This record gives sequence, structure tokens and C-alpha cells, in this order.
Amino acid sequence: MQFVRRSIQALVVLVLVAIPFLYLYNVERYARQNFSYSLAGKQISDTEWFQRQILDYIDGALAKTENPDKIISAISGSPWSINILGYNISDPLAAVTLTIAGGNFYWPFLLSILPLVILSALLGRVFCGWLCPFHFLAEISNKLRRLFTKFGLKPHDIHLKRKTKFIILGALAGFSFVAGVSIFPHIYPPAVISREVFNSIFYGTVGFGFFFIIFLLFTELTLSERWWCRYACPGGAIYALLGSVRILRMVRIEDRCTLCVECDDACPFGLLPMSDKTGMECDNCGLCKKVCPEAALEYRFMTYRGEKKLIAEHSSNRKKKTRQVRGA
Amino acid sequence: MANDANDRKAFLRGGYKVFLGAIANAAESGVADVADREKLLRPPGAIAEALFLQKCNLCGKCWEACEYGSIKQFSSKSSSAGTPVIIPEETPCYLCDPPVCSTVCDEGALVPIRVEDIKIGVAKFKKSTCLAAQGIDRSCDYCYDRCPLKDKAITFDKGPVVNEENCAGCGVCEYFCVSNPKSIKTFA
Repeated sequence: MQFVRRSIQALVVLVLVAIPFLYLYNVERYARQNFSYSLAGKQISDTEWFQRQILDYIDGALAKTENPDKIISAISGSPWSINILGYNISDPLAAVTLTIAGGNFYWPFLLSILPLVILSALLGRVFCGWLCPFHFLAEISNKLRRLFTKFGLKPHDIHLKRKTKFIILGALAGFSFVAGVSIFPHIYPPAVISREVFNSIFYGTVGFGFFFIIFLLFTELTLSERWWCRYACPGGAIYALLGSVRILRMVRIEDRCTLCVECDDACPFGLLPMSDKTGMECDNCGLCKKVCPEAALEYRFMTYRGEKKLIAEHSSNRKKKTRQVRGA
Repeated sequence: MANDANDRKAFLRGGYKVFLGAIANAAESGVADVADREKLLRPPGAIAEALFLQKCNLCGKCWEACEYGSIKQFSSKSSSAGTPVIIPEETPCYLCDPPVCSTVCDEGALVPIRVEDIKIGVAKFKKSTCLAAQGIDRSCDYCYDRCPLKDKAITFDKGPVVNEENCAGCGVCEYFCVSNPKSIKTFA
């Protein structure tokens, strides 16, 4: 399970890096075919050594295929709004911000959010745990953080309210509406990261977004564990709302549970599976299931009501047990 | 006590300055906004500027699609930062058929368009620096020679003459102009 998740995350990062290289190659190839001299100017003559190596590799790989154009144009965009084989898939946040900033409905684009909306409504915040490139980086920073604690350093751990991200979403959406310009692509990490990767590979420069991401990772390392994903991310807020109706849920089996708190420690979102407090934030990453020594956590198909009933049952059982222990 | 009051006064004065600074900053970026909105050359098929800023979400499909690498990300303080622009001095638009960038946009900021209908901007000629017009080099006719709409958008009579109705504003003339500063420039 974790292996599948890691490979999907790695694939996303690979695609992010591959897109600018394919683009660079496309520009160079076009200039080579149609002009006796380089028209696209600086970018081509100034390729670095490592760029040259990768471009030559792409050239070799595509020389064998019949229709290189098709392969190059197969995938474009960013995780925020990607086009795969002519089908557009967008983040719900992109549609929300576009609709709010523009004040009108553009149906072709609104329809493109359906795949992710349906996926989130079925499986929870899966975009965060499985596809978001920032989550991938944050998990590395998380690992470092735990390494620090192992060696005796104690980073701060500041906690905010989970509601904060809904407030941020509302405030920024209000700003977008007033200003008539969408603000989210400038601060939403999946959008920022892909743009910065593109800039750094294609132009060799980085913008404000790069420092923003570095700032986020640094604060996650030193001040508060995963504060962006937990308390601030506007995209995560939308996915959390959608995830509240999810069908696949991580369920605790009370008989096997020994209340060892391993799962609560492992959860990257700071949820508490041991106390049945997963709520709407769970992204079904399966880390708690992995660390549980008693295999007391399992995936179950269950509605919101079903889970509520189960939790009520658990709590009444616990009360009964307490009463027995007290001998009352 | 007196010291405290002084401190507070100083603090208030400083805060006042910070507050003014913030307003000045906002005003500056607002001015930059207005200035940007008038001067930017958008890719072919772009809708009206105010609507364009509402629709574009910087996904990058247009600049990935362009085979010439003509579409750049605009770097600025204003709200149009990161949006796609064409900077003819670096790389002009070569008017490919069909215009790829306009077909790949899923957000509706760029609308599919025929090559004949492209209107990015208009080229404007300045006589004072032109080599041909000043008689420094009568044989220089790069702007006329390289124009993709030769004889329709531009004619040559001791220097280029731009026909503003037919000019697509692709900026090829500006790119190939050898004078410094450029004697032919594209404006939105």
C-alpha cells in the first residue's frame, strides 16, 4: 500500500520534471527543423550540460517512435490544471477561484473538476496524500523532523484550529471576488511548485514562489508539524469538505485495539484514529494501518452515518467497561 | 513616565510611517497594474484584458504548447505577475497555423482563433533611429523581409510603412530590427 502511494507520488514528481524538458526539447527540435539558425534565441544556445544530456536522451528515445508530436503533447499543464491526452483535469479550487473572480460560469472548465470531485467524495482527501507534490516534500521534511527528535533536538510544535483553513479559503475567495484576479495560483503549493520547476529548468531562474515553498518547508520543520496542510491550505479545505461524505473509511476494530497510541503518533494530519477522531480530514494514506501492531485498523466501506453509529457504539462500550472496572 | 510617552509617540510616528508606506506600496502596485494592463502583448486569441486576468490561472499549458518558446511569464509586482505574455524583443510570435496556444487553453482565457484573425497588437515605426530611413544603410530591410504578412501589413519605401489594419502585432519586425534602440516596436 505504502509502496503504491510512494510510487504514485514519485510519478507525479517525475512528470513535473519531465514536462519542462519535453517543452525545451520541442522548442529546440522545431528550431532545428524549420530554421537554419536558432530562432528561439537564448534558451537553446545556453543549454547547460545536464540539460544537454537529458535533451540528447529524449532525442534518442523519440527517434525510434513514429509520431513524436503526439508523445510530446500528451501531457501538459500542472497538477493544478493538467491536460492528459486531450482531457482536462483540474483542481476544484481552480474552478472555484475562476468562477468567483470572473463572476460567471464557464462550463467546459467546471466539468473538468468532476474526476477529482468524484474521487474525493468517494475516497476522502486522496489528492493531498497521493498526488500533491507539496505533500511529498512535506513528508520528507516530516521525516527529518522525526530524525531531529531522535537525536534529542526538540522543534517547536504549534497547534492551530483546524477551522483556520476554511477562514483562509473564505477570505482569499472574497479578495479574489473584489479584485477580479484569482489569488490562489500564487499561493497554492501544487500550482506554485510546478511553475517554479518549469522556470528553474527552462529559464534557469526562480521566482517568489520558490522562496515561499522554502519558507513553508522550513517552518514545517522547525515551528509546527505540517501546519500548512492541516490548518492553512485552501485546496485542502475544499477536499476536506468533499471528504466528509467519503465512502472508504479507516475504521478501528475495538476488540483488537490495545490503546497503544502508535496510530495517533503516525498520522501526518494529526488525526486521532485511536479515539475514532478522523473526521473529514482523513486522506486514506494507510500510515496508521501500517504502524498498528495489532492490525486493529481496517479499510471499510461505510457512510458518514454508519461511522457515527460505530463511534457511538465504541464510546458506549468504553463507558460500560469503565463501569465494570470501577465495580459499580 | 515621560520616557514612556516618548516611546509611544515614537512608536506611533513609526507606525504611521509604516501605514503610509503600505498605502504607497499598494498604490504603486495599483499603478503598475493599470500600466501593465495597457501595455502587455497577450498570446493569440486572448480575450479582453480584464476578463483575461479573471480567467487565467497560470496553469502553463499555453507556454508549454508554443513551439518557438515565444510565450513568457510576465514578471512584475502587479496582479498580472506570472500571466503569459509575448516579449517580441526576446522571441516574437511566428503566427503558426493553427495557433497552438489558443487551442490548448481549457480555462477560456485564450479562445481558438484563425491565423488570419490574430491581433496581438500593432507595430509602430520610429524614423529617427532607422538605418534605412536615415540613409546610413539603404539596403537594410529586415523588418520588411522577415514579416510573415509581407506586402499586406508592411510595405517598404525608404523605410518601413506599417498598415495598421492588417498588422497582426506578432513582433517579428521588432525582433529582427538591428538598430539600437529598436526603431520598430509592437504595442498592444
